[in-house]
Amino acid sequence: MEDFEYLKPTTTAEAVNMLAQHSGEARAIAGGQSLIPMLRARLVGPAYLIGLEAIPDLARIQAVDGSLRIGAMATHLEVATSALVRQRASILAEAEGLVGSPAVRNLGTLGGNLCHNEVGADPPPPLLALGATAVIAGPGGDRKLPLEQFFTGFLETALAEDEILAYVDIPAQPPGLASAYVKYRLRAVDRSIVGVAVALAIEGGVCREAKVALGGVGPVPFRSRGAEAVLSGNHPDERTIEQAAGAAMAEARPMSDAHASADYRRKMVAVFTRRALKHALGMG
Amino acid sequence: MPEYKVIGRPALRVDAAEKATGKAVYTQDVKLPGLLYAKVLRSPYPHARILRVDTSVAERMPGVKAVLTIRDVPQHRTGLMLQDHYIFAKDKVRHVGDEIAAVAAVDEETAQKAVEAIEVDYEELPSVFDVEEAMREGAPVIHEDLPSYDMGPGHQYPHTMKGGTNICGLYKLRKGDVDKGFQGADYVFEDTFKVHTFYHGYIEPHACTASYDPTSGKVTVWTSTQRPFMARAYLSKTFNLPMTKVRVVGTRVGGGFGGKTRPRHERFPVALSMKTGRPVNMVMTRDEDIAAYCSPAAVVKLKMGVKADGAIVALAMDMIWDTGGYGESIHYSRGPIEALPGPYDIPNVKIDSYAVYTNKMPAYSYRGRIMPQPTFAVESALDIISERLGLDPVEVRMKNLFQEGSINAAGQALHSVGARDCLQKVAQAIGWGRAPGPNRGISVVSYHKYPPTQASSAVVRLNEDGTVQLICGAPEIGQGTQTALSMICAEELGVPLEDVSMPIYDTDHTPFEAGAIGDRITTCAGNAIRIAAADARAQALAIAANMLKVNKEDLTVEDGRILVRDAPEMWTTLPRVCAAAHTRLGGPIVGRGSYLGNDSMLEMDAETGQMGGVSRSWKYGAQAAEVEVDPQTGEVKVLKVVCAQDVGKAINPLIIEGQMDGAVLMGLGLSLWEETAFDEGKVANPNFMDYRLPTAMEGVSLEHIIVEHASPDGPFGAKGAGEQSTVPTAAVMANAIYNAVGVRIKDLPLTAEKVLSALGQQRAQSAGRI
Amino acid sequence: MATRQQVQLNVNGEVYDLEVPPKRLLLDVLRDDLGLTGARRGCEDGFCGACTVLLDGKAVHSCSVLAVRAAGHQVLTIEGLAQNGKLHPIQEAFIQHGAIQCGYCTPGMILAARALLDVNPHPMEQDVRWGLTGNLCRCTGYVKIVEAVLAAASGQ
Ligand SMILES: Cc1cc2nc3c(=O)[nH]c(=O)nc-3n(C[C@H](O)[C@H](O)[C@H](O)COP(=O)(O)OP(=O)(O)OC[C@H]3O[C@@H](n4cnc5c(N)ncnc54)[C@H](O)[C@@H]3O)c2cc1C
Ligand code: FES
Ligand code: FES
Repeated sequence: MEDFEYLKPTTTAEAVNMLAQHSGEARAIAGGQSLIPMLRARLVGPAYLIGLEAIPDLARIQAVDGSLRIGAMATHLEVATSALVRQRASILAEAEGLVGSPAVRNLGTLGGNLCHNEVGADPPPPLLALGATAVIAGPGGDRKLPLEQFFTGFLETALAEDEILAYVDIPAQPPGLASAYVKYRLRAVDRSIVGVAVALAIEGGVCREAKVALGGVGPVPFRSRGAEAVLSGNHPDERTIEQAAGAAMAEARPMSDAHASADYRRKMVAVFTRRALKHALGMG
Repeated sequence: MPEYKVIGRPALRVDAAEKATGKAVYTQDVKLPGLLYAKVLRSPYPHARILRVDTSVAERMPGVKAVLTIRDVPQHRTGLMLQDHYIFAKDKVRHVGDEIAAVAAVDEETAQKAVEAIEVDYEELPSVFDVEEAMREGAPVIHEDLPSYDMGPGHQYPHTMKGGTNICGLYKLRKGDVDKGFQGADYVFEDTFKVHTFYHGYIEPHACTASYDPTSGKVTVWTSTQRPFMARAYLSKTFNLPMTKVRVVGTRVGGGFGGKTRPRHERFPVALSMKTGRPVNMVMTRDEDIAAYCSPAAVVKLKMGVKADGAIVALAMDMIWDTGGYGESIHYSRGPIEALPGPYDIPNVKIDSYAVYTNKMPAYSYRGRIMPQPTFAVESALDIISERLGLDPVEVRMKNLFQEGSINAAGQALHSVGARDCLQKVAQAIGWGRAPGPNRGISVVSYHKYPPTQASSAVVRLNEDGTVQLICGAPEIGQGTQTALSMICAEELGVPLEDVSMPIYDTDHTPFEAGAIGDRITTCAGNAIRIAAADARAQALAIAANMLKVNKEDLTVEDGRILVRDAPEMWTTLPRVCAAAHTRLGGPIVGRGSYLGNDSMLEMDAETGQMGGVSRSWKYGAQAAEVEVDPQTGEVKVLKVVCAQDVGKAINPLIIEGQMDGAVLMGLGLSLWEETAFDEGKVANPNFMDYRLPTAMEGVSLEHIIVEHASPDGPFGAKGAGEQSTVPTAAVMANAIYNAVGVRIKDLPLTAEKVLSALGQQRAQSAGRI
Repeated sequence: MATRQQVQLNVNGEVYDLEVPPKRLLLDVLRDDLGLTGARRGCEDGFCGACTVLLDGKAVHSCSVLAVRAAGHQVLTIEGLAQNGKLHPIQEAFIQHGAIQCGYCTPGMILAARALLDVNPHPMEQDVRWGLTGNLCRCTGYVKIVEAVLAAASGQ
């Protein structure tokens, strides 16, 4: 590990200033669960680490103007067990409860997970399916970005060097929301081979609006517009579900890695999209 | 049945409390003043000539105390099994990870940076990774000097080596006439099975600290090893030091499973300490460890002929072991080769077993050693054959299994054979014969394992107060050695377990012990200890007889009291006898015992592998499982495992259950999830994220069945118990998957992906038929 | 030499004032500076859990925590679990149920179990298995470990 200085700002503005001041040489650290192994492997070697743990505002989970605001520093455990999250965004709570192992959930944060943007991460699909927005703090103040645009490429995000992710906002969900998150992996602790989140607004047996989001099967988590189109305005019966699963599979751009080949991942997209939809709709 | 006071009971482990409180000392916990830290430069190429090594920049770096290459150390070949490597690569590297240089520095990071500053020019050579390709004519030759190599101090068998090829070991077995056997068969099955490479997965990575004292010329070594005396033998040979100048001091060992049977990395801290005169520590990082230790991959070409009633009449097998770049697993070709057909009475057998170099990392022994790979093939074949003949696979096994007096493939007579007993019990426990439901499958498999060999010795000292020092070089690597051996000693002496203390080994103070391999500690060390304890007991009784003025033949020991038979009023105690021995009668009591796990293989015929005579006792077992396969994902869920082992006599059933638990999950791991993956000879998944050791969520509870067909050659009938239950698990899984969804997979591992793709082919085929 | 930072660590109820480089891992401080070697080095990748300690009562992998980050928090290592020479009931259960083999995973496993039972004093078998997924054991197949934790929970 290269040497660095550890700075501990107490406000978001201070943190952003530090990043700006040492631009190119500084990096935020949240729970350190992804960053510390990277530092050890000398994949990154910043001269300054900006520890965000002393900024109380970033760890808060709160209701703000009808939407749910989760601070980037809320840990996986805190998000998974928060009554507010369970009530308003239950599939996010479920996904957070499936992240890694207890030790990872105890220190790792939602923000750190999103900023790391690793293939197979669990929180992104439910957040995308719930239409979440990233609130980014920078030298010029806050900016908001639909979460979909936050993930820009393999291990890359839309954050500039002097920006931090401050919160994630989840809008109020329509009544009659049918949602589910399913994760497929080989061992309990693994990242997902495929993770599928679905959020369906059902009115009179018809799917008024559908969001289907996938993780693990492309360089970035994404919404399957094809599957959503199949479902929207339709009665979600077996046939529709089958078509939606097929559409999701067609959109996946998976890569091969130590856990699964691209081909297998693609097949699993169909299986788990189907399972997620059925689960959400109470069809077994 | 004799009444035992100590053995046969689930005594708690003597080492548990220090481990539960964190006080146990492992190699990494040994801290010495002035300690330096070592890192090693490894080849990035699988096969290349070394043109130039420049260490000058590394040497000048602050904090660096020594940089060594082949120029700085003894330049002769060495090796525990086959002397085919140098301390550092000379002229050529033969696998990714081959060691070229080592650095000692004030801390690990400085050492690592210095390693990275060493410049090497290579000329890449053509390489070969597939073991069958490596056998072919015209394959790149990895060791040009092959036929001239000598065996190492850890391997007493001669080997056939073919110069100009990559075949570094070939053993043959011929029994009966296989051609005739096949002619007389009603059905002949022939196929090829492949077993992948896997990793031992001990949680403590390899670590070693060496401290050389220039004044005395002696090096002291702490190392995470299963075989301290082999480490000493290797280091003594490698550095031209007499054994009096190499001392291996014991610590706790955080698991081994075969991966800590060969000294390998010890040579670097030793060389660096000899150079600097300071103690040097080297701890393998996990990625280094995963890329340095693995099991040998194997190809099994199998041909089996059976009668319509299921009687096996002929077996031909080509067994090909992939040793990787160096031959520390050439002994796999030796076998014992007669173990390969499984526990079946087969009149005609022909086996060729090859050890073959490839440009992958060197392979090492693995729990169960040569057994899991052929067992996967033979037991898969038996299920396939049974189905084709419309026979019940359990009955087919029962029909062919060894029984008392059967003659094995090497012509040896067998005794204390618990094979049928194990199979029957397991079949009953899993509910063999019931229909398990959709996508569920059941399978039942038999197996055996050969007798342990090699030398052990022990000293039993009685203290002045009658307590006991058990001095034995057997390392405790988690398998319960210290407890089981102390129990054997206590039983033989007639004292309670808590009166026996067995300190951790030290090659300077404990007598020779070949090490923790092949289930040999309980049997071989156990025998030595029993002999030593009996010796001490006889000495104590002689003194007691003198004190009580009776014949020593009339004395017995019970719970530390020495009683006169038929005269209950006359007695003394072991403490009194010991006190007397130390002051006025006879002198301190020291019992000694030596045992040689006699190796009839040394007399076997080179062309036929035949030995004849009576074998020492083999171990037998059976295992069954029920699985459920998800037909959409190919995922295999293990619902139940039943595990029977014929252990001869269970010295401590609690410890044996623990061995079964660990062995089965290890077997499930390497069947279903684990694989050391290679990309052009380089390990592609060297971390626990990607090398999928099972977690508690993948674990299963199992039903243990301990079967006891007492062995005449183990202590109190014991046969040993640590490795067996890993042997059959891959076959159990493959057969259960077939039983569940009808797909037969012949190359391990049985990943979800592979199962799904086989299901896809099956669907395509049946669609094609319609 | 890199800058060093003052940190005050509270480990097993004792306060230590240390000066460490900011990059120093909690695991290394515990093992090398404080001599608390019960926290074991197994992978340093945040996976195996041999290095598990409790930070404010929660299980963490001390190889993935900077010492500066632990400052001001309560650290509990295996050495601090027994009270007045009396083993903690989980330690006792591990010994009684044969849940210890090579022992390398044991300290981390026991601490993870302690954190689990603090939150869920009456777990089912699956809860125990799920709660121990951050701790690998190669020796025991987890069978007797799970038994021991369940037994400790039921006060046996
Ligand atoms: C053993 C193991 C298993 C895992 N399994 C899973 C799994 O199953 N599913 C899953 O989803 N994840 C898994 N993870 C990853 C886990 O979710 C990590 O906790 C997460 O990716 C990182 O969170 P962190 O708070 O520790 O971030 P850190 O490691 O501190 O930071 C990660 C990156 O994000 C940056 N960063 C962090 N916070 C901010 C911020 N607010 N603003 C700007 N940049 C920031 C850092 O600079 C760094 O580049 C696993 C990790 C481990 C070690
Ligand atoms: S050493 Fe920390 S998790 Fe393995
Ligand atoms: S007891 Fe050896 S790793 Fe758990």
